Amino acid sequence: MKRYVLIMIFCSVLAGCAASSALRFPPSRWVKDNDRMPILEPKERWKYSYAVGESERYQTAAFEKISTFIGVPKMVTGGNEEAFNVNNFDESPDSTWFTNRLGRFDISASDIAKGGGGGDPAGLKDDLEVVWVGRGEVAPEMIVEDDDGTHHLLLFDTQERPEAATGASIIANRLLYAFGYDLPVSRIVSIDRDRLPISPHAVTLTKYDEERPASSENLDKLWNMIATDPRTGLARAVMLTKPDGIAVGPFSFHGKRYGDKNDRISHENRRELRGLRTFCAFLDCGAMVDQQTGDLFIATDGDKGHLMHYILYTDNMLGAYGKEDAPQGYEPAKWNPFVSNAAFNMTTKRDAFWAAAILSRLSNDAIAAVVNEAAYSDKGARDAMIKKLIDRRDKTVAYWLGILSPLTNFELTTSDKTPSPLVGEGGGEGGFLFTFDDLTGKQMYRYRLRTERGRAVLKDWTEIPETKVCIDSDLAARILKKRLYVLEIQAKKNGDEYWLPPVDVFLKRTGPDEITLMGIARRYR
Amino acid sequence: MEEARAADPVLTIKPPAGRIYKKIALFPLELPKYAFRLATFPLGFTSRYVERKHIQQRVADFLSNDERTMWVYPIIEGGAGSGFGGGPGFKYIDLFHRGYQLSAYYKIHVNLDQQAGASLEKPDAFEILGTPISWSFSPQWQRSANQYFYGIGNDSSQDDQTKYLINETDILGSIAAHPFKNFSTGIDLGYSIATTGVGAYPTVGTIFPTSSLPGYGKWLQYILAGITISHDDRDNRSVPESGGVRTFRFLRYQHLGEGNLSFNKYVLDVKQFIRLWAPRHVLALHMGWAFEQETGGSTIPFYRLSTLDVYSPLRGFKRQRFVDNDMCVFNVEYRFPLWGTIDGVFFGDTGRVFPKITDFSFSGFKYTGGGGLRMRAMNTMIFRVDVAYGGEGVNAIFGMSKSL
Repeated sequence: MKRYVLIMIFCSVLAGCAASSALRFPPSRWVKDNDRMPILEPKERWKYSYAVGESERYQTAAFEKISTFIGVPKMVTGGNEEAFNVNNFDESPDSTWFTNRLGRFDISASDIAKGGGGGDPAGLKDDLEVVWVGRGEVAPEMIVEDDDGTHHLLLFDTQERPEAATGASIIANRLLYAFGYDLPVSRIVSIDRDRLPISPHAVTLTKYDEERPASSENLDKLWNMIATDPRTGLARAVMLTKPDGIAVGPFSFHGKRYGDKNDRISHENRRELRGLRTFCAFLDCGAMVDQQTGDLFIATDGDKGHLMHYILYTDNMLGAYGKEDAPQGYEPAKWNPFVSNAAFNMTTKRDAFWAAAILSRLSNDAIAAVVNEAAYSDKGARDAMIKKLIDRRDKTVAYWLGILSPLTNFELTTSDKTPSPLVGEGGGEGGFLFTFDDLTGKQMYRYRLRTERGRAVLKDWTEIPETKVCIDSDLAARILKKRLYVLEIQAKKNGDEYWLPPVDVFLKRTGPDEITLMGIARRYR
Repeated sequence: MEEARAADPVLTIKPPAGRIYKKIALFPLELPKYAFRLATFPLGFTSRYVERKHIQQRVADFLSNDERTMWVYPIIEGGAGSGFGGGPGFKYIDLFHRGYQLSAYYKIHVNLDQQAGASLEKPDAFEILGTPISWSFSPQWQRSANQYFYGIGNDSSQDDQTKYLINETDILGSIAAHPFKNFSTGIDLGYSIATTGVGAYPTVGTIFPTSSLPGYGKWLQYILAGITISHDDRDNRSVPESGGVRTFRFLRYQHLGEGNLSFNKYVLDVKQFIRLWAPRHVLALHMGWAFEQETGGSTIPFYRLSTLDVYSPLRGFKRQRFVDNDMCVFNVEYRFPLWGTIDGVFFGDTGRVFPKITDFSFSGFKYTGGGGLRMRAMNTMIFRVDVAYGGEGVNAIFGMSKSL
């Protein structure tokens, strides 16, 4: 027993030595993950495996904490480790999971409202056949096939909550797409029962999830659950067009997919899946499970290709099914999903901050434009939804950007290229101008320049009124080659007693007249 | 946007190298988890199959009506000296669509020990001054020729195991008020009649003179009267993850007939459930105290003494292992998800019996430790298996009864 304990202590100490560097990648804020290498089509995952894998997901997520709980210091186990797929600038790379959109570019409100389809005006085609009839347990849904052979999921509102699920689905679809996730093209359509003949090959599921041939009676039964306009008999639906590719089941929020060599990062350690927790908090989505997602195999090289990872269902958001926040309202600090997943359990403050920083770029106009896409018949409902989203965005952003330093968009330019009065005063030839943005604004700032491990302080704490730091020629000359320097920057609101935790900006001399911004580390304290 | 993206460096992003070293270094910590999962792999495989085929739902459909208000179910249990047993159970939770709850069961073991019981309840039956009042009525009967008796006291020996027969019928009625949320206080009234006699071999008389056992061989009748105060804020009655239940109960056993065998019984029972880092990771704590007080020079029938045994629970010991006037027990239980519908559990139990509260000390405590499995379906624990060791051999218990 004693030997086993000693081995564990030894291994724990060894693990503590295995600290990972924050600067693993080239000094570029935006990078692309090479995860489209050709692979064979993986085996389809069971579509309801979210239930099967539940315990394992919790167990793995919990294990990190158990290690801490049973006495192994957090510095050894790392507690909840930071996401693995972030670059030197704490950003998620473009990949088959995520594409930096709103976080990287200024996207107009109208473009955000268009979503993934780019405003594709194509509505329902004429020759439709129902090929799959849902049970209507959560929402009435069916899959129709058009004459091109393309499948579309039609998701309807229930009679109890008209326009709720379809509205939520469209809004969340557009917003999540703008944030960077992949979602199917969606649009609101109106349809009547007569336009939905049932295919002779149509299927439905029994309550035990067994496939059975579907008949018109199944469809009629489902149709009776659907909210229809009493005057026209039309039902409002959100139409989700199946993206290109072969569906191979949902992705998991835990582990890696067997058979996918491009899947190198455990999903609970992916920044975009962890950050999704913050977006779900904003979107009032109490449950995000595998069942809502889908992987599609895109053949690019004969029978080889790669997977794309989609969030398919977004109809359970924005309180569409009546699950509301606590009576005191939405509080980001206390928000927890009704049904969690491993990635959400592993979310750290940096993950949440990353998502909140993207969210802070979502304008009121964009929110209004997206809500307009939901085409609510009641103006009051539309206004209430806009108000709700703005309120939740403000609370989410204020909370998470108040925990870590809200400074971002760091840039370093040589002074001779950047005319600035500051440079003129203290910089001059050979100096550098370091600029950054403050996501919250109206703050005071201070900085200091030191060597990586702090053995030498080149410039002690200096307060600055603007989001600019001048590294004058004398100071720049002290930045030597082959050594890493840290520019620590802190911010605080006027009147606040304490400075927020600093951002460490790593600088390195890469040439006689060149200093390169290598990366950043947002510190907890 | 696409032009900007085209200039981005393309990298093969992998986990940090330190992560791999860390995984290797921390592997010893993961060994117990892998060992437990390896040992229960067949169960996990079965659990997956059960989930995929919706077998739980099919069984529930078979055993209950469409509204899920009426259930007929099998009872299976065994271990801890009672042998294998089973029988039918019945539950109706909305009788006549008026909120009455009716339940009944019958169990018989291979050694022909039998138990039967029924319960009729009406939660929130009526109100008095705005306070909801509920009532319940529950008769119970048991006949067993295999009741254990090891002698009285904390130091009774396992070698002194004897058996006697008991035939007992209890009828208890309760009326409870619920003045505040989760809080209830009520009065209990009942009647109990029981007799003891020669049971299976070795009979109690072979070691203990029956004349020294108060109440042995006589029909004894009692009128029961008492109060119960309870606070229950568990989130789920069957598989709680948070909250707790705290109960204080006083019951007067007023003997009817010759002799003075009346006594008072005080029970304090506290359970607390603490949700840990993730759903289904629960720390369950339990503390139970029971005191029996003779009144006016009375004696307490030996089979009505406070009992510390597998059901107290002190799971490493058999039924009726320790008896005395007073008893205390403490339990710690850690539950964790093992497979989709199966939870694992590690527990530790300790407790002792003592003749008077002034005789209580922290010495002489009995300890048991062990682990087990809990099979759950639709947020209800339906079956449990526990294996415990307390110094008197390994105890394996299985059944549908609730644990903690």
